[in-house]
Amino acid sequence: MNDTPLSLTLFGVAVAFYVAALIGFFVYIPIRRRRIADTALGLVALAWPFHLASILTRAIEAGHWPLGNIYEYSTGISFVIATTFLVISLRAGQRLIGVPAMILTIGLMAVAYMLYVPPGNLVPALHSYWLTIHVTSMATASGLLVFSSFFAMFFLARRWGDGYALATAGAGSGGAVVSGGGGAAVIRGGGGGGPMGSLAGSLRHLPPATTLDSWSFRFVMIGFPVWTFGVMMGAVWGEHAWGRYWGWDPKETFSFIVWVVFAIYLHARVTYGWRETRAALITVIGLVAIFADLYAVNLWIAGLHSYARA
Amino acid sequence: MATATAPPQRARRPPAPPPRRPPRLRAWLGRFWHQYTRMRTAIYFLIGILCIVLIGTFVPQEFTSASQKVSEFAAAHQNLDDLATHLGLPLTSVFVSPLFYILLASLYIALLSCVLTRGRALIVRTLRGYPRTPQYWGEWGSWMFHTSFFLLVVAVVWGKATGFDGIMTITEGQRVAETQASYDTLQEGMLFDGHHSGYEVQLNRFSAPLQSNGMPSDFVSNMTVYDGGRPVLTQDVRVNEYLGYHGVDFYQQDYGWAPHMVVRNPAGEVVSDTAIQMISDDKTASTGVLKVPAFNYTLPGQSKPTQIGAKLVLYPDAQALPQVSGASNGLNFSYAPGTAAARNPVLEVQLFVGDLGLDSGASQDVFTLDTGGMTPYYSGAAAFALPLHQTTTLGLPAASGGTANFTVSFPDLRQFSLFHVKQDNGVPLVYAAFVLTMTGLLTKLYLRPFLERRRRMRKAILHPVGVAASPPGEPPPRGVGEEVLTR
Amino acid sequence: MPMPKHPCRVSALGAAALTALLVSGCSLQPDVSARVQPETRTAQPAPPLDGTSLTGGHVDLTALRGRPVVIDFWASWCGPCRAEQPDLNSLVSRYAARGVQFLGVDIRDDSANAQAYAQEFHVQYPSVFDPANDIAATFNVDAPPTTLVVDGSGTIRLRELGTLVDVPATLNSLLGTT
Repeated sequence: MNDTPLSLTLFGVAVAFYVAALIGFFVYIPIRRRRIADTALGLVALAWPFHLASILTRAIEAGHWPLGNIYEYSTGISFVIATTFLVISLRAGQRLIGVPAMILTIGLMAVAYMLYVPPGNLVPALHSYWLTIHVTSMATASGLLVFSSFFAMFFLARRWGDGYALATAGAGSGGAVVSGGGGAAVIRGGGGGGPMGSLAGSLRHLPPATTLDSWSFRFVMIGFPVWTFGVMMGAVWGEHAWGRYWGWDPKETFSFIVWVVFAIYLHARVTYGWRETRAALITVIGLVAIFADLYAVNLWIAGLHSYARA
Repeated sequence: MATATAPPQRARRPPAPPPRRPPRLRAWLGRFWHQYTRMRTAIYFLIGILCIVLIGTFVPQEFTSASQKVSEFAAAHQNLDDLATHLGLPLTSVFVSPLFYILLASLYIALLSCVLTRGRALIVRTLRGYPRTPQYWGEWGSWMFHTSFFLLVVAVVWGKATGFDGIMTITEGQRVAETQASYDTLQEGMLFDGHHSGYEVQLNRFSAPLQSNGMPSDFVSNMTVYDGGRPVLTQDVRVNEYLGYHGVDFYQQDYGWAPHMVVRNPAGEVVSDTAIQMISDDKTASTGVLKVPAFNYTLPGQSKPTQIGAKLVLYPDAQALPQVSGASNGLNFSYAPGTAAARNPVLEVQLFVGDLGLDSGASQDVFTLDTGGMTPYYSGAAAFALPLHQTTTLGLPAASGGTANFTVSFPDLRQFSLFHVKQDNGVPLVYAAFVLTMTGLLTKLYLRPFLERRRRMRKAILHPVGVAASPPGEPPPRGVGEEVLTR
Repeated sequence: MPMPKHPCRVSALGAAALTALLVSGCSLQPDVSARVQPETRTAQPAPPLDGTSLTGGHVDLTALRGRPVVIDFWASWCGPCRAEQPDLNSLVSRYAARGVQFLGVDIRDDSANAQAYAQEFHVQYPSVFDPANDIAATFNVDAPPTTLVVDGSGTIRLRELGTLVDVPATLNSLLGTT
C-alpha cells in the first residue's frame, strides 16, 4: 500500500475535532457553562473545513463526484449533519442538539473508515451525471431528516421530564408546576427525587416541548421534499440506465419506506390523537429506516444498488 | 400485521343492500364512509403498505431476487409461506399479492374521495371569488400533491398495458429484427397491439475494457439500427446510455462470452457452426452447452443417427496448472481461471454421445445438457482442452470396424450482449406526475409560509409598533405552514 | 405448448430489471408463450415472402400463387420442430402430389446447423434462411414451430403454433373447393 491519501489525513483531523467537540457537549450536560458549549461548537466549526477539504481532495483523487461508494456516501452524510448542526447552532442558538449530531457524525465517519476503499474508478453503472443529482439529494435529505428525529427525541424526553415533574410535584407539595426553570426548582426542592428526578431535572434544560416539536417538523418540511425529489430522480435514472423507473429493488423499497414513514408523519400531525407523541415516534422510526436503508440494504441485501464496496 | 389486515376486511364488508330498512343501512353506510375517509384510516392503510414493503425488502422476491434465494426461502419457511399465501400475501411475491393490491386500492379510494371533495371545495371557492389567502394556495398545493398520485397510477398502468418488456441477446456480428421471435423472454401488455416495430438491430462489437483491478471500467455495445434494410443509426450502448428508436428502447444489461465452435461429422460435413452463449458471474470462467442434434452419423448396430453434446467451460485467460502425474491420453490437464480478458482462451469440453432428448419435442434449456440418454465420450466424463484456433480430432466406431474421425474446432471467440428491451409510452406521463407531485409539495410546504411571512412583513412595515415578530433564535409561532397536506 | 424459447439466462441483474415491474404492471403482462394464437390473425392476406434458401436458391411466395401453400417456421435448435418434422414430411408425401406447395422458413438459426437438419430429416421442400427473423416479423410469428396454410389467392387460412393437427382438414377443404 502507498502513503495515506491526503483526503484520509484530513478526514482523521476532522474526526479528532468532532470527538473533542462531543466530549465538550457531554461535559456541558451536567456543567451548564455557556463557555463549554461555545468551545465545543468552536471545535465543530474547526473540524468543518477539514471535513470539506477531505471531501474535495477525495473528489480530486478519485476523479469523480465523491458519492460513489459507502465510504464517500457516509462521509457526505456526516458532512451534511455537521453543516446543519453548525447552521442551527449559530443561527438559532441550539447547543444540546450537538450531542446526537456529533454522535451520529462520528459514528458515520467510523463506519466510513471501517468500509474504507481507496480512491478509484466508479463501477460502470455509476458513470452518469444522475449520480450527482440523485445521490446528492438522498445524502442531503438523510442528513436533514435525522435532525427531525433528534428534535423528536428531545421532545419526547422533555415531555417525559415535564410529566415526571408534574407527577412528583403533585404527589409532594401539591404546588403548581409551570414550565421552565420553575418546575426544575420544584423537583430539586421537593423531596430528593432520586436519579430519575435529577434526570427529569436536567431534561428541563431543553427548550420547551412545543419548540422542539416545531423544530422537528421544520426538518421534515425541509427534508421530505428533498427526499421525494431524490427518489424521483432515482426513478428517472433507473429508467435511463436500466429501462425501468421502479423495480422494488431493496434500496428502492427502503427509500419508499422512509418516504411513507415521513408521509405518515405529515398526516399524523393533522390527525387527532396522533399529533404529538405518536408523530414524534414516527420520526424516530424514520431515523431507523434511513439507516437501515443506508447500511443494511447495501451490506446485507444484494440488489442493483449494491455498489458499497466497489 | 393486525393493523394491515383489518382495514381491507372492513372495506369489503358492506353487503348487498337488503330490500327492507334502507334508512338504517344508509345511515350505516354513511357512518362507514365517514370512518373510511378519515385521515386516521388512511394512516392505517399506509402502515399496512409499509409492513408489506418491509417484508418485500427482507424476503427474497420472485421478480427481483436470484431465483435460487427465492426457492431456498420457500423451502425453509414452507408452512409460514403457505399460511401467508392463504391470507393473500405470498411472501416471495408481496408486490403482486392480493393483499397489497387491496391495500393500495383502499388507499386510492380514500384518496379519491379526499381529492374530489377538496377539489370541488377549491373550485367553488375560486368561482365565488373568495380572497386568495396563503391558506388557499396551500390547499391547491396539497390538492395537486394528492392528485399527482392518480396521474402516476394512470401513467404506470397505461404504460405497462400498452407496452412490452423483454430480454434479447445478440452475438457480435449478429443482426436481429425487433419482433417476438427474437426475444429470449417477452411480456406484452394486455392492450399491446401485438405489432412489434420489425426494424433490425446489429451488434457490431462489444467491449468491456478491464481496469488494473480486473473489473471492467465500462460495458459498451456498438449497435447499428437497420430500418427497411438501410442503416439509420449507429451508436454505443452502455449502462447509462440506451438506444432508442421508434419508441423501443434497448438497455445494456449483461454480456458474456460466445465461443464460436465448428463440428464436422465423420463424413466431413459441417453439422454445427455456431457461437455458443455462455453464462458466468465474473466472466473469468463461463459455462455453456454445445448441442449437435443433426450430427448425421449412425453408430454401427444402431437404427437412429447418434447425437453429440458437450458441457463447456471457457477460461478467457486460462492459467495452466502443473500436470498431474500419469498422463496417459493427454487428458490429465487442469486449468484455473485467470482474468476476464481474452488473453489465452481455452475451452474445456466434456463430450457426450447419444440422445440429446430433444426429439421428444420438449422444450429445453440451452444452458443444460440432459445426459440421461447419453454416455460420456471419455471414461469418467473427462474433458479435453480446446485452445482458441485449434481443432481436436476424435474417433467414433465405424461400420468397417475401424474408427470414424470427427472434429471439434474453436476458430473464434466472440462476445454477446444482453439487452433489456422495452416499450413504455407511460414514462413521460410518469415524469409529469413527478413534476405535479413536487410542485404540489413545494407549494404546500413553502409557498404558504412564504406568503404568510411576506404578509407579516408588510404588516410590520405598515404598523411597525406592536407587531410581535419572532425574536431571533426562536422558531416562528406554531401553526406556520403546519396543518399539513390534508384537511 | 411449451416454447423452445431461449430460457431465462438472465443473471440476478437481468432478472431484476426484466420482471421488476411497478405496482400494477406485472399482472398486466402475461407471458407471451402462454397466449393462444388469436383467430383474427388468420384470414388475412399473407405478407410478401421472398429470400434466399438454405441451399442458395431464390424463393418467392408470389410465384406459388394459385395453389395452397403450407409455410413452416422452424429452427434447427428447436426440439418441438424436430418432433414435428416427421409428421410434416408425411403431409408432404400426401399433399405434394395434389398440388400443395410446402415452404420452410428457418428462423434465428445458423446455416450449417439448418442444412444438417434438412439433411437428417430428408426435407423435400426449400427453406428460406431468415437468421434475423425478418420474415418472422412480417408474419408476426411468436416462436417456432409455427405452421401457416395460405390459399391459392394468397390469404392466410390457418395458423398453428406447435401442432399440425388442423392442417389436413384445411388443405382438404381448400383442395375440395379448387
